[in-house]
Amino acid sequence: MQNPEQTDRRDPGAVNHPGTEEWISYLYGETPRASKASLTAHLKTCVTCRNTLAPWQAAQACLAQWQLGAPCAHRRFAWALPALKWALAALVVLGLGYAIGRVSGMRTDALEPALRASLVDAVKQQVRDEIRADWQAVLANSPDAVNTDFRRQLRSDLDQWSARTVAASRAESQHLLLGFADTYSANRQQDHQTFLTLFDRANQKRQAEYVSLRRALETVAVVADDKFQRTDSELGQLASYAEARFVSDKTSEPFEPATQSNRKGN
Amino acid sequence: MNSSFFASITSLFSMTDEQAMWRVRMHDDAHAFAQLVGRWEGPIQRLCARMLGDEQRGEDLTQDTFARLFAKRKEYQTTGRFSTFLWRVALNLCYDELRRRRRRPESPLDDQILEIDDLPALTVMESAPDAVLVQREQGEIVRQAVSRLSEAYRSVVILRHYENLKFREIAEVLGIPEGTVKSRMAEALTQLHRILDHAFEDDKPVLCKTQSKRTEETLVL
Repeated sequence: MQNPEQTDRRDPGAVNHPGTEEWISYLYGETPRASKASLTAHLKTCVTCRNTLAPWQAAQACLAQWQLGAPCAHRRFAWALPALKWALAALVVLGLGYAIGRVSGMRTDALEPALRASLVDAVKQQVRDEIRADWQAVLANSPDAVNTDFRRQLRSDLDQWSARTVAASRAESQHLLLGFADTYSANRQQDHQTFLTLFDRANQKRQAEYVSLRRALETVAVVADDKFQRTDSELGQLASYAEARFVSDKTSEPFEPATQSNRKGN
Repeated sequence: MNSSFFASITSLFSMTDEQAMWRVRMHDDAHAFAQLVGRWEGPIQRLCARMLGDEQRGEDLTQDTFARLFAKRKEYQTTGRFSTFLWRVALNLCYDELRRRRRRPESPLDDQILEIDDLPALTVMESAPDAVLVQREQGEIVRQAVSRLSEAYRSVVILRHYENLKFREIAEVLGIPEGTVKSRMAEALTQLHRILDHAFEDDKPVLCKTQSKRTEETLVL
């Protein structure tokens, strides 16, 4: 298959065939008017180029068979929108000028009604002519120039607005940051105070518990000491009683001389 | 025609796409975003449907496109055209979806050749039901032919032929030189002609062939 990207061929003869890109632009109506006439003339006489274009045109026609829905409406007149906008702007300016002129001009109450009517008609006609002239001038200008002017104006407006927005957002950010810092500092101090208060309270509680525990331990020690002393005295008394009884038992019992057999048995 | 002209006149008093997108970017303006969706939902839906060859999936992908547009609103450059940005987002989603399909094919309908008996029955017959059927069948064949083009060629054909973008605009969207766009268009038309010629050779007389002859006569004369 022949690659169309390489079909920009030049006939060694006298005829120079237009390239692929030119023919594709021609097929889709994007060729400038002057080139279009020459391409059409070439196509009339050149069988080679007609054979090149024939399959493309057939494929183009077939593509139209696959329909999904209506084309986008708002794009049809997109080319006329900039011109219409300028025309409307001119209309508004002229209308404002006319209104200001009527308000700030001499009072027409004193004029004769016929004169006033003629003046109004003349002014209306003049405004109408000016509007028509402006409209035609705008439409006569190339849409590209109008489009370029509008884009340039829009871009400069957008730059100004974005600069203002950036400055305002920066000031607002600084203000918010300062507020945040103040709030953060105040909260930190408050947290510090709260922490100190809680720490003091815990320390006091610990000291109170320490004192209470110490008192309890002292009480236990005193009671234990008292118990020890009492036990000691009781043990002393018990020992004295036992010694006295041992002595009395020894003295009251008759003497039994220990026999040899008893000793041995024991 | 009247309604579209009226829509164009009313659009004089509304924001341009770039202004609306700037408002969306700077202020998260829901009203401006709704305007953009209203204006561009149709073209994006058609683009997605044609790129995927599936109208239902095209609708889903349209929603994904506007969701991604909102997610990427901070990346929009105010010096660029909104339409270029939006077409690019939609095309990238289409490429992702096509890649996903290639990895995990899930639509056997794409590869089927639609027979005349497979077409849905017409409950309301129009004036020429046979012509309607023929047109539907040819549309389906063209859809399948376009689906067989590679993504690079398919996107150029759809943007130029169906969405009526200029070659210069397509070059901006795809980020390639204008000459490359035209070369791809020529190659795509050549491949389409070969595919369609093969598909239509059993169905003569063929409507689009007769139309092509008429077009050729118009061009030459």
